[in-house]
Amino acid sequence: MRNVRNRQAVKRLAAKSFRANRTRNTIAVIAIALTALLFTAVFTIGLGMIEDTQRSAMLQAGGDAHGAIKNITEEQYEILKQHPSIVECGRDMSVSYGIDNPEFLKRHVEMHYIEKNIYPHWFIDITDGKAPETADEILLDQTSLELLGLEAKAGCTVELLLRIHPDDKPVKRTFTVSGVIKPAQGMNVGFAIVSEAYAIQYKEEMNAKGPEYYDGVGQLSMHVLFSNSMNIQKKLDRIITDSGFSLDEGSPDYIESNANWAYMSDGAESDPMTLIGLGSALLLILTTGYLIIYNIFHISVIRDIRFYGLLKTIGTTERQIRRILRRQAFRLWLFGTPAGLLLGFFTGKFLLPLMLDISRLEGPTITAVSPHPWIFIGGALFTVITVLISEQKPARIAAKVSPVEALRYTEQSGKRKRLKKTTDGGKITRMAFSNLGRNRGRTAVVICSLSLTVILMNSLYTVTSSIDRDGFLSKMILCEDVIGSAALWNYDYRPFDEETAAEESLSESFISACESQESFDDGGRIYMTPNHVRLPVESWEIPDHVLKDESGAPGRETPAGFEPYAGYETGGYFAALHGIEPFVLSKMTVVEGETDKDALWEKLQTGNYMIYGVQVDDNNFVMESDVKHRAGDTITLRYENGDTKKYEIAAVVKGHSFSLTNRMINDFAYYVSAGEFKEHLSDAYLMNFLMDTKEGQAGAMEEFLKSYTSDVEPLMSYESRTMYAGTYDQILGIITLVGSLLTAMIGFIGLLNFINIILTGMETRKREFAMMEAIGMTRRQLVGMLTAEGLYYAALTLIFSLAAATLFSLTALRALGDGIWFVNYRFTLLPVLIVCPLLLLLGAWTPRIVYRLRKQESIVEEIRE
Amino acid sequence: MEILRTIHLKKYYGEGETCVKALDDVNFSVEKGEFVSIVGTSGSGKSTLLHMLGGLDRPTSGEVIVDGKDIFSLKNEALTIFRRRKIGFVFQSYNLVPVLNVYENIVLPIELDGDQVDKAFVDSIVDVLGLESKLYALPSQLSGGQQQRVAIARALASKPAILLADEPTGNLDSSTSQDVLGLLKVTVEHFNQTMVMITHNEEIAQMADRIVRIEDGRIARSAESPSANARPARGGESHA
Repeated sequence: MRNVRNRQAVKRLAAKSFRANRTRNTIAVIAIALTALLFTAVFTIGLGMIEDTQRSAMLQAGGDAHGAIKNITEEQYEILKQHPSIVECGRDMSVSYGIDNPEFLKRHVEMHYIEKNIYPHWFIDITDGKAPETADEILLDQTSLELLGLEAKAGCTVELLLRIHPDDKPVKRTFTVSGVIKPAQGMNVGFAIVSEAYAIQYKEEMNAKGPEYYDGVGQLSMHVLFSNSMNIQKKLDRIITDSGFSLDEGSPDYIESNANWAYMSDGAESDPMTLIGLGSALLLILTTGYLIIYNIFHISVIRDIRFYGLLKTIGTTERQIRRILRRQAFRLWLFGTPAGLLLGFFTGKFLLPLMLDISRLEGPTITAVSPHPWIFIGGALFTVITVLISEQKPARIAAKVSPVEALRYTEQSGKRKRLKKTTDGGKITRMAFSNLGRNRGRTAVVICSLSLTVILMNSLYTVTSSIDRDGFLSKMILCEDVIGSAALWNYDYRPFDEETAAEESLSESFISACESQESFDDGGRIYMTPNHVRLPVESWEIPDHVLKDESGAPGRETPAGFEPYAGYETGGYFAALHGIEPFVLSKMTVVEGETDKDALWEKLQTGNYMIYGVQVDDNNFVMESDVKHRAGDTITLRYENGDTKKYEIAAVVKGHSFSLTNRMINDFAYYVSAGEFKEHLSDAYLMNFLMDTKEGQAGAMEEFLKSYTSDVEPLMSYESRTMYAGTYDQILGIITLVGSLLTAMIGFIGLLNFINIILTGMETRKREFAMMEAIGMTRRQLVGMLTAEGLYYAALTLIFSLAAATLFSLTALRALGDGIWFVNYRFTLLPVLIVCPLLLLLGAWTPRIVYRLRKQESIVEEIRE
Repeated sequence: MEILRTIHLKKYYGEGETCVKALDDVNFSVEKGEFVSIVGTSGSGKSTLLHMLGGLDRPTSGEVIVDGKDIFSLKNEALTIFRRRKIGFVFQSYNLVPVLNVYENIVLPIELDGDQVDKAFVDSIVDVLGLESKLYALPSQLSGGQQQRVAIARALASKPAILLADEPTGNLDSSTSQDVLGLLKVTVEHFNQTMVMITHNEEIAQMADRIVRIEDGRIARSAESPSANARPARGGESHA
């Protein structure tokens, strides 16, 4: 009972003294709201990015079902679906290897029969019409319909050229569009969904190649959802064994299953950069919030110190005083947080798509983050942590004050025992400087708070101005333009024979059209095939640094685990052979061997030499583990027709998957002269054409390429430096925008901190000011002194910022720059210099404005207080 | 020579029924070199009177003439400047600037005026008040009596026309009070200063040449102090 009563008293005291601190409360609520805003925005963006990663993984994996049981019969399905652990399940079947309508060449369309109840798990969202029922009904995504030149509405008819199996002749089939679905976000693929009736009607045709044919057409899969995503593979195995089937590959009852790999990782752990980014953002906000909230509480406790002393005199315990302060802190948090959470969520929502644009070149898979409770819980929790940390020390001061001392408590007490051996301290400016030293800790906190902004601004500028645009662009493209077939950019360039090559390779007509352009300067072809040349296993001595598995097969580490080099078991590694023209050679970067390009070309032309292309990492450094040959090595290649030929490696060059090969990882990439290539293989394997334009005419060529690939040869495509430059500028713009917003916020908090210290400085020294006026300090002199104080804050901030920004730049930023290949670290303090006059102006005017705005009382009233 | 005069000085707070007449038609004057005590109970209006005399507050009506100048005809800024040149204050709570040492506090009004410090004069004040050894100490390193001595030195440093003291010993214990008052009186005499002191302590008031009693905002009685024998009072009669 007693306890309850004293709690009531504490509550009442807390409430009373809360109300007495109006100015403090306003500033504290704003500070807390801003802190909450920043936290929530970061959580919104963070969660949105994770959501996006998971979603894109699911999209690639084909949905959010927990797992799939593959290649089963209808009968097996009926048995399996009875299993009690299944919450939901449904069938899926690929019904055609491809759709050959020319409109779909740059964007493939997959054709499936999917059971209606698992549409949502395949992210199939019908925007118009309904699901297909009869065999001639079909669902198509909006983009695919538009590509066919149709309005995206249910009811129209489409004629599709279905290539049921890879080597079949296409069949023409007419469907009625029963409904339109949303295009899959973040994927350059269309979907066509047919009904069960279709699957039954064309069963024969799909099973023509037997049930195990590699294209998967006609094979029934079962998608399963459990109550949760734990131990998916185990649960799948249970279903199979419980239903009387086998997990043993050799058994006739064998059924294969696999878990959806989108559930294998939680999305975050796969991306340490995002995590580090999030972590440092949270830490930065926590620091910023701490700097201001601590200051606010500290000031208010010192000002009310007599009140706390009085409370102790009349018997309030330390714990009760702490509780009074904590209650006040909680109340401020309660007032400030909701607005911060809301504004933060919308800020994050606004920034998320921009951030996703940066992190995902294929485009974001989600358009908006959902208002997940975790965002708000996280934002509120981190804010309350910040508030509680900030309130700790001030509360301790209030709790520890002795009743006697409180009465004579001046902030300087006991701190300075030294004598002050000056005689000109009465000068306004000297006095102002001394005033800064009254509470050094607090002054330091404000200076830190203001400097944080300046340092952040300087760092942002250093990074953005250090980014090497040309370096970035040359990672993406080696020359001005690259032209090729649409298949190349769809990662589909891997010709099997001269006949299929026609569909995947670049047309000579496109090249001559380009060459005839006024803006064309120079160019060169690359012929390439990954399928027709082997490197006999015995002709290559595996170096020690190349990874090997237990059986001794060499290979490389992939996210999925160790993967042996293709072709090892069959006695010859697949070698990707490229035939190049001189222009291409001029674009290569030699890392070893003959560096003189003319001499190198002469060697290549003899037909006895080749260039080996080694893989590079993200930072454009040679991947040492991939170095398979050294300059001077001799290797033997075996052509498909049985020819073998010895080549000496004349040089090792840096690989470039976008410009110098078919955009895929080729373990053994060799470059010979175009003539040598054609002699052994064929000129049908023309992969791409690299070219440069005349000075200043890149735009004209770009326009030509654009119209040519859409009007004259729609199967051809291109990419240009201009395109990448656009992307680059956009990314840089977004980084700048997001960075500036963060800087502005933190700057605003710093300013608030500054205003607060000036304001409370004036309030606590009210009496001192009145006395000075009594002994003859004019208001003008007083304002002069306050201005000088503000200027000292600004000057100290500048000095500190200069030092800290320099240090930070020379250590952390330089290290960062060294780690990223397209960043050419350049030291700069330009932003500090630019911000210099601004800061001084701010320092001079803030005290003036605050002084004007505060309530004017007569000297007598103030002196008496 | 008359150094200070008030003419029909009134200060009212509030209006109508709640109107409080803190000062109600006060007329009195002080001669150069005179030491006057103003006594009264709390709420009698004695502090208000002192504030008016020093130009810290403006009256509802009436005039205050200091050294021949009607101080309320001055604008705020000019009044402050007039104050730092002509009036020295000693407050009950010392009111020293915490960041300045003793010497800097003493010369602060002169510095604020942009004047050259009369070194010899300041030294003589410091000497009389016995502060030589404390010149570089900060206020927080001094005792109450020492702080008040610094305040007195500060008030005298600019050679004001008149010294106004508001309960100068109110925060001090009795023996320190005696020391400070003794010093105050000696100093005032030594530098031939005029002083008006407010106190509610009759015993302290007795040290003055003349005692002015104030009740309910009016001057009740003005009498020569018994201790003033040594120095003949020079006129300055006032009427209730």
